[in-house]
Parts: sequence; structure tokens; C-alpha cells
Amino acid sequence: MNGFDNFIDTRKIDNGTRIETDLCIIGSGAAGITLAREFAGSQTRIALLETGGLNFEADTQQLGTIQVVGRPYPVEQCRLRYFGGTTNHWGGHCSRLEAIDFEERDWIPDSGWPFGRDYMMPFYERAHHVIELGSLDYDAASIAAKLNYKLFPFDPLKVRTSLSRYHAQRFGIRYGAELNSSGNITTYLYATVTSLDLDPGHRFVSQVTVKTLAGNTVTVAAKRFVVATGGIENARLLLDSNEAQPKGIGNGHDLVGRYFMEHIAYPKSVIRPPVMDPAYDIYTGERPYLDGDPVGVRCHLALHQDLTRELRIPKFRTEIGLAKVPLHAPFSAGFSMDDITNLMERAGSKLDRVINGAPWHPTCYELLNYTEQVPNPSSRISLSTDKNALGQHLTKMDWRLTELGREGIRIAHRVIAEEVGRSGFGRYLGFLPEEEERILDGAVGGMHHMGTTRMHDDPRRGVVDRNCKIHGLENIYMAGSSVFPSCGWPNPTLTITALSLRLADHLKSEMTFHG
Amino acid sequence: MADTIDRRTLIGAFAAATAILVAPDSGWAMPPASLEARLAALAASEPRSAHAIGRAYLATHPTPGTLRDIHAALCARLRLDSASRGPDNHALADRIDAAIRADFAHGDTVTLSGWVMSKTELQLCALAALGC
Repeated sequence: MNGFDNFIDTRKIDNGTRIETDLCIIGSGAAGITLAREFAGSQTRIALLETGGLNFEADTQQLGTIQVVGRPYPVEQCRLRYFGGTTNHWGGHCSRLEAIDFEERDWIPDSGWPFGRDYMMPFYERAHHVIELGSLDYDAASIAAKLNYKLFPFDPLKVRTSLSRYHAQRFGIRYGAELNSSGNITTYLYATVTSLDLDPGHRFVSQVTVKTLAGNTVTVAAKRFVVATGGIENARLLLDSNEAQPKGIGNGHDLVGRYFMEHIAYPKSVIRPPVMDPAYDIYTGERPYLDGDPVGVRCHLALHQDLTRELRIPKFRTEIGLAKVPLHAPFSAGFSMDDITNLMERAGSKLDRVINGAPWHPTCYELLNYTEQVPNPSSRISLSTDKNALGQHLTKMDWRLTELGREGIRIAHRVIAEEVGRSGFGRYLGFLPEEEERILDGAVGGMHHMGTTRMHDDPRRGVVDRNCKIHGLENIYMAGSSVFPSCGWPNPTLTITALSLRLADHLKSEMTFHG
Repeated sequence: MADTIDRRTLIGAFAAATAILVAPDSGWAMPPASLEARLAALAASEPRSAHAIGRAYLATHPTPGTLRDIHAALCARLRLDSASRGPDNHALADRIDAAIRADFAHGDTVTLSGWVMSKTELQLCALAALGC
């Protein structure tokens, strides 16, 4: 990459150097870069610390090695440790949390945010500009009509079509030059923060210790610190900063690292319509929002939030893919998908297709289910006894799901199956095992790491308060999806960006009053 | 589209042609089809499919398992007089479609090899499998 000449290679700074700044931002992913940009050109001195360089490097990546001790999880490169962070391989999938996602739901333990969706809307609008997503338009019906697609004919009060917008913004590439030319922001590459150091009275963070793989150590002192290293690393850094407080920073109530959440992903069902109609292709892949526009749109299916309340289940969404199930191969009961197709048709319809030339593809829609994980204190990030090359404890991941999560999935599938039949759209084939505990065998996460420094006004129920400040400390904030108390099904980056903008506003306001 | 034949029109024409073939005064006079046979014929566009699904249904749901019982159950679902020939094929097909949708709306479904299907359509297939 060019145009990054003002970035500093921390490996070349003299050992023992002490850097002083106003605001120290740890991490240069979507959260950290968004936050830093909000201060560009201001009087506030910013130090933006990035553990890696400008490109992927294996030895830096290994600093984030994760040991999996719970259900299987593909941890290899699920986070990227270089400038721009995980946005460097992000798919660009954006949608907003729904109103229900912010609510305290009595059937979802530990759910609820300290504020509602309406409050977040202006920040979502600003986040759209950061990600360059175009207008804040998520109306599936009007967008599909404008693009000459149509929506599945389901009752929207049961199975509604949700629309997502896509723009794979590479934050480092897009905004690196801007940060580079900003006179008040200094980006430090190869700067791995290994500990947050408290003042003797344990009231605030006085400095962070930064180490490099070249062997030098520097410290960064600041008036305020923001940790924006991702949903896993955020927890690890707090836990591993345990010199002054043995349980780690902000962990007085043993919450740091707990409530680790993911979006539960599993393809275990298909829908077979009599005929595959390309007018529904807005579901099966990203389509350009405008000709030549890099923003894409795609529809998905979700249970309506009112029905979700009525059924008292976690949030459920499914993405739609195209699959090719052999038409004539019999299932165990002795009939085939072709037989099911014939069941949906009456005499004459095949002749109809011959005469009218209707398409006949041996495919069906695959439901790529993508559901909310119920907050679960037993699902957690903790420290391994093993250490990385910089002496940090490795991360131990124990990802655990709950019975309610499994039950919710079975109910949601039933709703979709019945709506598919009721509407006359087709028939549903599910592969969910009968045994409840096996329903999510093989399920993976969406590489969305959330909840490990959850937000709640009560310090006994949250690591950070509504302003994302760690309870009990004066000057340290968490940014990113680790603060999500519950997660719904939307992919998190848009909300992460919106929350960073909100945090920037708060910090500016605080600096105005308190310096 | 103006240059294509509407599906419903086509099915109507198909049914009309069938009716001519079975009419007593046609050269191809055959005994009038029973209501059971007409229901079984409307189960699926291919008889072999109705048979295969019907057999699978009967294997896992043996009750009601006789042709008479299933016919009676279907007539109740479709609000038909089991002793009559029922409405014409067009109306009968519409009534079946409505019953199938109602089954799905009310959760009156059966899961067979992972497929979620309406009881009405499965009982139609069972009729076909039992030789109607």
C-alpha cells in the first residue's frame, strides 16, 4: 500500500520509549478506524495502535492463536491481525438490529440493551456513510420491484423478507490515506498491546504496554483508552491485564469473557417449488442496487418479530442458496424429489410446460439458517495457560449453546415449512435430527464474536455501561461487538460502526467538559 | 402473456377432454369414474409419484389404512358426500388445493422422510397407492 508514510513502525522505536497522547485507540478494524476518523483534524492527539502491519503476516497472526475447548469452532484466520483488521476479508453484509433485539425479552435470559433502536437510527445513518452503503433503505418490497424481482409469496406477519445491503468496505485501504494525512492521528504498526496498566489507586488506566516481535517494548500514556480489538481479543486483553487486579481489568463480577455469542449457522433444509423462477434471484445472491453501483442488495427470510415474541423463541433468519438435490434419487421412504414435485402439480401441468416453455431446473432452494444465540454465561472466552511469542496468555474458547436455542430452531423451521405449503409456494424438506441435543451438530458460527464485555447499566450484569465505559474505571472504553448484550441475527459490522460513531460523540462531549 | 395458454385453462381443457372420453354417448364410452378414482387421479401429476408417496405414508401411518376409511376421511376434509360423484374436476382440484393450504395453515401436517406435507395430500396419495 502507498500513502502510509506517516505510519510508524513500532519495531523501530527505541526500547523503553514512552509515548504520550490524548486518546489511545487499540485496534484498527472497523471500530477503531471509525472512531479515529471522527477525530481527524481536531486538536485531540490520537494514537492508533495496530498489532500487525499493512498486510497479512503469519507470525503476527499467530499471536492470536485460539485454543478451542468447547464445541468445534474453525478459528483459523477468523480474525485478521493487520491494518484494517477483519474488514480485510469481510463479506460486506449489513443490516440493522431490529427493535426486538434491543428489548429485554423475558424468555431470553440476560437480553436487552440500555437503549432502543430508535435511539440508534441516527448512528446507523452515519454508519451508512462510513461503509458507503448508500441510502438507509431496507424496504425489500420496493427495492425488489425496482430491480424487477419479486418476493416469495409468504405472509409477512409470519415469514417476512428482510433485505440486507452489501459493500465490502476495506477500512484500512479506504481510510488509511486519510488517517495518514491527518495531522493529529498517529498510527503505530506492529504495536501489540500486552497489558493495560492501572494507576496505583486502581481508578483509571495510566498507560498500556506495547511489545513487538522485534523485542522492543514501549508504553503509551493517554487521558483515555479505547479497546477495539474484536470480540475475542477485547476480553483476552482485559483478562490478561491482571497485574494489579488478579481477575483482570473490569472483571470484578466475573463477567469478562462470559456470554460469548455467535450467529449459529447451519444448512439443514431445502424448499422445493414446482418451478424455479429466476424472478426470485434477489434471494440467491447479491444483486447490484444500481447499475455500476458497488452496493449490493439481497433478500433473506426471517420470522417476523411479533411472531417471534408470540412463540417466545430466539430470533431466526435464513439466507437462501441454490442447491441441486438429485430429482430422481429416492429418499429413505422410497420416493424422490421428483415425486414431491409431481405432488404439487395436477394433470396437464407438464404439458403446460412443454407448450409454454417454462423453465425446469433440477434445483431447489437451500436454507442457510442463521440464528441468534441466546446469551449464555457458560459460553466464554478465558485464558489458556499457554503463551504466545510476546508472553501473552493464549485465548481459550468454550463456545456453548443452550436448549432454548435448539428448541427455537425447531419451532422456526416448522413455521417456515407450514408457510411454504400454505402459500402454495412449494414443499419443505428438513434434515434436523429427531434428537433435540443433536439438532445443531455440525453448526458453525458466522465469525461474529459478540458479548464478551457486555453492556449493562448494572455493574453486576455488564462489563461496560451504556457509554461503553468499563464499570468502576474512569477512562477506558470498549468498542466493537464485545459490548452487544444480545445479538439478534443481523451481521454485526454495521452496528459496530454505528456504536463507534456514538462512542466518538460521547468522548468528544466528555473531553469538552472534562478535558 | 397473450401467446401462452393459462395453466387453469389447460387443466380445464384436459378435464373436458377426459369427460368427453368417458361420456356415455361418446364412441369411447366407459363406466363413470368413481369419486375415489377421481380423487386419486388428482393426487399428483404422475400416478407413480402418488403411489410412491402413498406407500411411504401408509407404511408409517397405518391408520386409517383401508380404502374406505381413507376415502371417508378425505370426504370429511373436503366436505364431499362420499356417495356422490362430487363436483367437476376443476372444482374438485380447487377444493383439494384449498384443503391442502388449510392443513398447512393449521399445522395439520405429517413429516415423511423430512418432507413436511399436508394430511390431505398424503391421504390422496394413499388412495392412489391402495389401487384407486
